[in-house]
Amino acid sequence: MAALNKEKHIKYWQRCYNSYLPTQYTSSDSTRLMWACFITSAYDLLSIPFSSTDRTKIRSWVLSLQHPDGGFCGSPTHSLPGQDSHKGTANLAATFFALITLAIASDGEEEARAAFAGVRRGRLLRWLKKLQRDDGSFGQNLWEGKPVGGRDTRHSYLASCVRWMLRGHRKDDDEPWEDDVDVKAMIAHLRRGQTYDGGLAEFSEYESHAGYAYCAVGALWFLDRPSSASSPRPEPSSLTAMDQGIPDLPGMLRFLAGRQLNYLAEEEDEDEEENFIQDAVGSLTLEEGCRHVGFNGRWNKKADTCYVWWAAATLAMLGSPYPVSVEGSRRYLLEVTQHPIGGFGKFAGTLPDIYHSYLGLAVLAVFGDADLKDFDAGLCCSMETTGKIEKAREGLLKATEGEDQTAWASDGFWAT
Amino acid sequence: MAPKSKASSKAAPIPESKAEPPPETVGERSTQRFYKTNILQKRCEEAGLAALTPAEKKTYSHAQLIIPVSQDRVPLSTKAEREYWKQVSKENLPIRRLRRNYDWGHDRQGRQLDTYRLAEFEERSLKQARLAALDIVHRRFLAKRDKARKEGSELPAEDVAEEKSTRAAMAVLRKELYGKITGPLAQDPKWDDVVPIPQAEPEDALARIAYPDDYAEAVSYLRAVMATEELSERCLRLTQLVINMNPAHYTVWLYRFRIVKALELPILDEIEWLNRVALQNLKNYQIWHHRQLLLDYYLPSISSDPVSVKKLAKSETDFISRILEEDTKNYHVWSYRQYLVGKLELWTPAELGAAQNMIEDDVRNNSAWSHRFFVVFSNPREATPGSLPTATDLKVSTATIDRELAYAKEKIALAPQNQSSWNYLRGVLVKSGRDFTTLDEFTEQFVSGLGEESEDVKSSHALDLLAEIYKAKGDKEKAKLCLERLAAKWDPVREGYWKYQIAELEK
Repeated sequence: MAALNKEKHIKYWQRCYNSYLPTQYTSSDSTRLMWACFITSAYDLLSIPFSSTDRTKIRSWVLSLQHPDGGFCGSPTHSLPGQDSHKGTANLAATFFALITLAIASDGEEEARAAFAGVRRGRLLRWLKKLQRDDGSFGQNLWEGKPVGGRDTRHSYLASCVRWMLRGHRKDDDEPWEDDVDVKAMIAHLRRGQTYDGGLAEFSEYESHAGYAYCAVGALWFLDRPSSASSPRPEPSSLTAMDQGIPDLPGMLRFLAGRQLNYLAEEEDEDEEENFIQDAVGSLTLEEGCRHVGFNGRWNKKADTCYVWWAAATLAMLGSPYPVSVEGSRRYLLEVTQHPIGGFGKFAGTLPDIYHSYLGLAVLAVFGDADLKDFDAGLCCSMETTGKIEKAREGLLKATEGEDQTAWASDGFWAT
Repeated sequence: MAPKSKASSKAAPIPESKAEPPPETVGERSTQRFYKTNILQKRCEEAGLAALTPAEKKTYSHAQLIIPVSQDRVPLSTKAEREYWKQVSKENLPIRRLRRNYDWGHDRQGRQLDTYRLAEFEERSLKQARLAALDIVHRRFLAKRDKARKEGSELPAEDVAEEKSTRAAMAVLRKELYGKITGPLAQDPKWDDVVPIPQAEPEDALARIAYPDDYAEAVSYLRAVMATEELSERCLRLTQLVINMNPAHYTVWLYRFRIVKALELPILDEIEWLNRVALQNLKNYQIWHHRQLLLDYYLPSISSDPVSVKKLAKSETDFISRILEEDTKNYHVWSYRQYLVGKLELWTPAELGAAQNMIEDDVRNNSAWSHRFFVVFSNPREATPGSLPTATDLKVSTATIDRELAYAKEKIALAPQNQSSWNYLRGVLVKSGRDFTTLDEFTEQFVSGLGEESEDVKSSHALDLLAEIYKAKGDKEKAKLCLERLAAKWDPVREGYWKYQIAELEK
């Protein structure tokens, strides 16, 4: 049985952390916070410790990207210095990754409680609310005061997570209070995304896609998640967001099961759309074995490392009603897309990149790999980091308690 | 200030130095010059202080004493100083001496300049001189332009062109001499009034990217003009520059759209430009979002003119077809196509035909199947608006349902193990509100001798559907058998799922 080449992965991530990312990453300059989060989170998963200097440096870099009106900018490219700082643009995905990275960069109870110190919670939550459209969807950033970007489930997911991380479930008389987003509209929008084949898309008229399914299920999952992840989740009932948000759950489960495919290594070809051609079913017998089980994102598409994550993590959030083919998937990841220099490629033989390398590790952690920490399939980070996020939220709430009540704070001039 | 030495002298006469080989490097030349102006120094180093004559000793030590005074390290009153220098002059002490170990500095590769051979050094000096000369030309241009602007005019285009070539030449020299990069924007006089805002990052920033130099420059100008909200032609070109290098930049597109609106640029030109960008960046999402914004903006202006709308529909679908030829399952393009159909109400036989053609080409193209479902079941003339795809819609005519069922069945017969056509069949059936059991005969033809020696299955999807059909008919045992055979033989990849279905069956 192939194993995770932990040493090589550590080397790969250390390279990413310590040196410049290659020029090809220029086209993803706007999502540097995502890279930073994946890199630091990979350190966390692989238990590579950060020195206190490292932690300080990570914290100050992330906080340097905070927008004065709330939220975080995707990269230094989008944040402006000094007086112009409000002319930068905060972005929902960046905000999600910023909060997780801040939590990763804390060590021990005390630091975790202070992990969100410096985050302008009130402004951020008000900004988040402004990102929501009337139809319940979320934009990725504000432009001329209006939410812009696609209406797809990615933004619903990110909004739901950010809300959980910073707001928690507050009761009407809780201090400090911030108005909530429109949860009902949010669920209604997600509900409109399920397609005829049980999958999910930006709109139900579009083609189903495992990534959008993950995001929709994730968004609903966080609406139901208790403020403390260790508290019991609500029992499945018609009252849960999950139940209200998915019109056809059996269809969804069928769609997710359908993402697995018997990966035939000999069919792999760069230019070929398929690597599984099932002209006849006879070849798929147990005797010959399903040695490698790949996952695709859409029906009849090629297997790709990241879709093992998107599909398996979605099932995990749905309570793992049935197991996927863990052994076959592990072999696919470890024997086919794990790269000799560390990290994972998208397909067999492709060079590793941060995105696939991280999500490859992530799904191995979901499968319970002994070399990796316990994983939170909803936030895509270790359970340990989720624990820190809860402490950070508590710490931040405690620190800002009552502040909003004072007259001088209510004009929005003072950062809260 | 030390006065010039006079001819009369009491100091020791300077002996002729021995002929030395001419220097090869700058460093050697400096050393030779140092000794030439510090002759006693060399003797003293070679033979020791004791070897000097008493007069030489006196000159040598007095000469050492000049230095602290001349450097003001020993403060003297004005009078004392005058006396002092008088004495120095009288003694004819060698005060005009070169310093030792002159630091020539290093070049951009870190090579010490004193290791340069003289010819190399001369070449470098010439370059520096040329750069200085060009700088004068450049400053003259700036002064001329300032003057012209004060008078309310602009310099002729030739002058600007000449200035551009001056700056280009300066940029080359600066790079050669000092390794300094002057990007194309800094070289263009049109951008002189913009103060770029470079990305100031600490050395230890996270996820640093080895940006190409042109990108770093273009972004620093973009940040500046976006901050001042300049909406101009040059900014439009700047957005193009940034988009070419980073099409996923999330605000440059919005900014570009704002410019297009402000300058009232022809939307069709912008779409034409976008076509080229899209062909170069097949997997980019922002391009298609931008296209939607353009269309949303443009349509109201032509909506009263059906001919223009028709022309637009034609050019848009043509381009979509072209790009789908390159990438038949491109997610963003198909999503845009669905948007377009809704927006331009293209619920036409031609649109259905386009999807059909792509299915004919590749029966496993799920994007094309998906599009067909959309064109049929989201057509407001045929279907109930807002009806979910997972819900029955009784407004859809029996003829349409029958046609779609027949189409799916025909394609299933062609490739029984194709997921897309089976999903389609199920989807149509849900829409129709008909029972799954109505598909029993059709489905059973792909399965024979189930559970027997002669068992043969042409499609695992048929077996899957049969399980549901038998369940609906109340035949749990048979349904269970289908699922068991799927898990054990016909689709073991999904073993976990089939076993879950068996458990559900028994609930």
